[in-house]
Amino acid sequence: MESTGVLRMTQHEAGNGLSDQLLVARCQADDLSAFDLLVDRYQARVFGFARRMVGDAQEAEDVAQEVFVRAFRNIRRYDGRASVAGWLFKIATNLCIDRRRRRSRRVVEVPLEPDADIAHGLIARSGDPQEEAVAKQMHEVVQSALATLSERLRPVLLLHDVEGMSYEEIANALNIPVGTVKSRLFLARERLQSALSAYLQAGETDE
Amino acid sequence: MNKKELLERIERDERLSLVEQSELDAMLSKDDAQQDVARLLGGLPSEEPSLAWRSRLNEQLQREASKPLRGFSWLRAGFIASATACVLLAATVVFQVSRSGAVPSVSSELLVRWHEEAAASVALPADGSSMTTFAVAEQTPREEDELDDLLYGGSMEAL
Repeated sequence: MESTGVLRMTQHEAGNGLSDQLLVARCQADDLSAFDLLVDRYQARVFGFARRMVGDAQEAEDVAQEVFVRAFRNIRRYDGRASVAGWLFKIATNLCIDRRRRRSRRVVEVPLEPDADIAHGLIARSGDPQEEAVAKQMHEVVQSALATLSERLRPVLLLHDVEGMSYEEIANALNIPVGTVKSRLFLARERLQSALSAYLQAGETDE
Repeated sequence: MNKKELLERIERDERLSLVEQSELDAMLSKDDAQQDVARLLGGLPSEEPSLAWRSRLNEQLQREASKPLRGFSWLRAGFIASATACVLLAATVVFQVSRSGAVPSVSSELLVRWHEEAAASVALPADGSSMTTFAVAEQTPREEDELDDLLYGGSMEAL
């Protein structure tokens, strides 16, 4: 699973040939264009993470904006101990949790009714337009299932399985021990799996 | 320990032994259900924010960049103002002393003169004028110059 995030990073790095550390050093020397490159590199990941954390696309855009503005303000304080991705996701996690607490809105759990087409999409997808529509629906179902997870479990699951971060990077970003990261990841996957089990089973029988 | 027992222990926030931790590691990387969820999440499409979002961000970053001091705080402002005031004060004192050429001091002669003037002002004037008027009237321009020299760093040799 870690290959997903690593692959994304490799593509981005191949795109402009500069390491994160070099870009940060240039930002620290007041080079705004270097920060633009960092935004190019991480905007999709930060936005996607925020989208899955807060659920709402508009709010996720606000969070993503705030993440980069705060990173820009504090770029001189970045000491390189954590990866740039870990640093950005740490800011993003804190902002998402703060927002959810401020709203103090109860998580709306969407009832998950089994649907053979969507279940098939959970297992395998093709480039077919119908499959694309199913994939979109699938995304909504996963989003609903993610919303049922607690704030302790969701960031760990997203950072590991979606963003491809290592246990150590997550521990550093969330200020928790590595053992706790593993326990929470295990628990989060179990909870998500049980929320989606109806779809997974329906998909397998459909195949 | 089977998966269910491990799950219950984790849900109860119990500390895991080394053996249990290694079992947890194995389940995270090999258990089918765990891997299904990991594959599912890893295959989610990436989402790009809109161009309007990027445009707004660029505007915000430009505003941040144009601020005079990034990370400027009132604490730092207070410190800078105090330091500047101290430096100006020290510079003023040094400048005044160097302009006078000598450190001003009060001579005994001047002290005696002040005492005599003060004593004279306490005595009732013969012409019936008030004490204040008398004291001011007795003060000559020459003495005013001397006082100014003493107070504002003028040369004491003139005395």
